[in-house]
Amino acid sequence: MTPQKTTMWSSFFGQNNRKRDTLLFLGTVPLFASLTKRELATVHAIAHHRIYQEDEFIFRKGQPGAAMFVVKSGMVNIVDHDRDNQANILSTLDDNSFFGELALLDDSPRSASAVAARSTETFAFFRTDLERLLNSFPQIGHKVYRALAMIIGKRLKETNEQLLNK
Amino acid sequence: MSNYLTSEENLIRLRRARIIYTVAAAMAVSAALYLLWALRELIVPTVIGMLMAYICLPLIGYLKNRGLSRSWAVLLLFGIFCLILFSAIKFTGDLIPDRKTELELQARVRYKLNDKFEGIMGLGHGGNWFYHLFGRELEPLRAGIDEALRISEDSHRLFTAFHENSRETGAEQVEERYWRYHLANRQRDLARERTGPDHREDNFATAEVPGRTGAAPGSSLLLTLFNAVSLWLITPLVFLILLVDDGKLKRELVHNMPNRYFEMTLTTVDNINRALGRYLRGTFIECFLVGTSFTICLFLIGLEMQWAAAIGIIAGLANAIPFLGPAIGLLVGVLYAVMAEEVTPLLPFIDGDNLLPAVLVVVAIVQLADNAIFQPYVLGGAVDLHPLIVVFGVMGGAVIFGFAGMLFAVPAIMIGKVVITTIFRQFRAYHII
Repeated sequence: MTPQKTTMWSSFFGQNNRKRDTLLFLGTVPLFASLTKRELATVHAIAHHRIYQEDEFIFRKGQPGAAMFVVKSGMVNIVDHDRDNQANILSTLDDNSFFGELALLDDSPRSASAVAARSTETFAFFRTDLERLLNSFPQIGHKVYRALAMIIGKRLKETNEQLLNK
Repeated sequence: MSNYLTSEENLIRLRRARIIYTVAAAMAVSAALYLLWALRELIVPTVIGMLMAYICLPLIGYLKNRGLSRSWAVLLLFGIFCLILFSAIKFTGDLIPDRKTELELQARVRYKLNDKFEGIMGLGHGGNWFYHLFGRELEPLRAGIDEALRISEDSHRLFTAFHENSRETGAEQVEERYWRYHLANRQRDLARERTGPDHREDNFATAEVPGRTGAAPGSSLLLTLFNAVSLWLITPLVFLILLVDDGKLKRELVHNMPNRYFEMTLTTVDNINRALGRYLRGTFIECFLVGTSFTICLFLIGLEMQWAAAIGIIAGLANAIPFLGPAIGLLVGVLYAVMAEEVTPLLPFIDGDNLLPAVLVVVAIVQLADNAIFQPYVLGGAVDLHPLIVVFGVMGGAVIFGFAGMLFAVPAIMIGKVVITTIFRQFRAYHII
């Protein structure tokens, strides 16, 4: 990342610039792609910004799932450990990808672990916050959950195809 | 930077960091405890502001769903809250008696109490069966209350001055019948002094409050009211700040959590929020229903609306205290029934003579409604504390913070219980312990 020049104005308006950047980024995430600017601002209000160092666990297999993560920058490995505790990388995700989305449906245990492959910036969305959003702004909830259903369906289809090709 | 240090240097650095963090934490906790003690008078107004904001939070969501922006919703709720708070302060201020009314009330309550006691016990005819059965146990209680209500010699002189409407005080004349009550009380005292030795000149209730005797009784009352009101100014401020906050406090807490505890913190805060919300909103609605029921029923049996509302508010508030709450409601209702003189009941079969049983019936009906309808419907299983914990908590709260301590002891214990059990449940779920 290129270092930004600090000016008096950036001290005053730095927060707004950050918010604008985040809104632009959230608009590129498939889950939120169909939202308007105003709707994105509402979603931004429930996003938690988290930074993970290389090799740091974002969540571990077996823990109750509570949040979905969107990768802003960096790289995340979805891993599963075998009986000998050897890590098998199931997939690798980079910018604009999201993972842990099943936690938005219920609090069943995570089916795999997520580890930052290098320094990674993410936005986390808590299930209950999204549920509240659904109640308060049904039109946003409708768009987000519809996109989520389509993405999960697409991933399921891809997994089925992989199984059939094996 | 730590990458440039050897493992031994790193170890020293970690040890140093641990010491600094521990000392800083200890200093922060000590400072917080000191501030809590120093500002203890602000605790109750602040807690009430916080509780009301917490209870009102879902209303913001409701108003937003109805098309109102968040700012307008907050402004509307703040306006309503200020209106209720200042009406409550004014209502309470109107109920606080001045020195003359206080003396009248003291004489009236004392006279009526003794009169009713003699009537119930049949003391005019040497005592009835009830007196012979329970009189020995009840007599010390009556004597204790009687002693507490005694008007001291200084106050008697002031009362006399009020009665004679002297030019020095410029006060209104004391109502004749209360003066007669006072004289009857004094005659009874003289008779007792002649017959019994257990007479004491001084007692705690009749001791003069500094600054309340003398020529200007009204000014000290205003000062007391001003002090109380200025402390309560913090309540709407806390209410407004928390409503405007829009979850920023929670987000700040979660933001400062290490990554390892991030999801666990989110879940824990949410679970605590849900459990507390259910309990606090449930308790608020239950207290409101009990208070309203008391007010309506007492008004129906003939109490003036002002007093019915005052007793309703006290009984409603006290209802937050399990076990003791209904007893406080009963006590206040009975006290009023004992000293009531003119009743204008809407129910035809009630008059001044059977007001006391009517109040008892009202208390029984309201408690029945509370146990059978309000609690199961509004609270569900939200309250689940062992009675022993409740009793100790309420007594402990009363010792430390007085009536406010009694009132907030159970909610505070509930908050502690919910927080601790939720944290430990989440610690286990996330394999931290």
